[in-house]
Amino acid sequence: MNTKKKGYLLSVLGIALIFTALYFFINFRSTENSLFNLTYILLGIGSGIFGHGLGELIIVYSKNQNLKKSINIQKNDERTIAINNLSKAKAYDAMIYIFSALIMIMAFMNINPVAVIISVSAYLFIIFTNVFYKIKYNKEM
Amino acid sequence: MKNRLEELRKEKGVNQEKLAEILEVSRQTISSIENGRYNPSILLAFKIAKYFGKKIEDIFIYEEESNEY
Repeated sequence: MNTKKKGYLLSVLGIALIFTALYFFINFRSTENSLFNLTYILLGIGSGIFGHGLGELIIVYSKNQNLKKSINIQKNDERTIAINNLSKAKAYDAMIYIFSALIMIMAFMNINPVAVIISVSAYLFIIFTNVFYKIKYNKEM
Repeated sequence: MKNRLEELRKEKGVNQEKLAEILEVSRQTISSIENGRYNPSILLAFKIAKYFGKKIEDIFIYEEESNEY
């Protein structure tokens, strides 16, 4: 998908989510409907996606070629990519310990077992994703 | 790994900004390579070598690390 298409798609999706949030806010404000809880989440996600999409479109339609070029260079710069990947790897390492400590705390707090099971499943999913990509890249490289 | 990038760049009379633009990387990347804080990918090393009309080993000097256990 090219940047222009992606920009339009994200902007439209963002606006759609914002309007859905408004619809939920207006219609379910006075009722006990659980969909009302989604309002603020949708508004947050919608605004984020819309902002990202609009950013892409501004770059595409920008008449300032130098700005366009420098943004592209900054985006594809190998050192920036290496730094981003390294930071993500460090954050992943930290997350593994933080997540496991959190699950232990949750288990000792005697909270609803369903919540603990969901957290453990998410933790295992992340671990398996790591293993999956290790195998994939091992074959590719 | 040491390199002669700064020396060659100054010889050629280009600044970091211009070299970065030619090689399609950021100015910080050039600065980091010159300071020895960042080792470029083989692709970028080839680009640099091609730009200066030299071999990679003429620009980047490999130093064997002494492994002391």
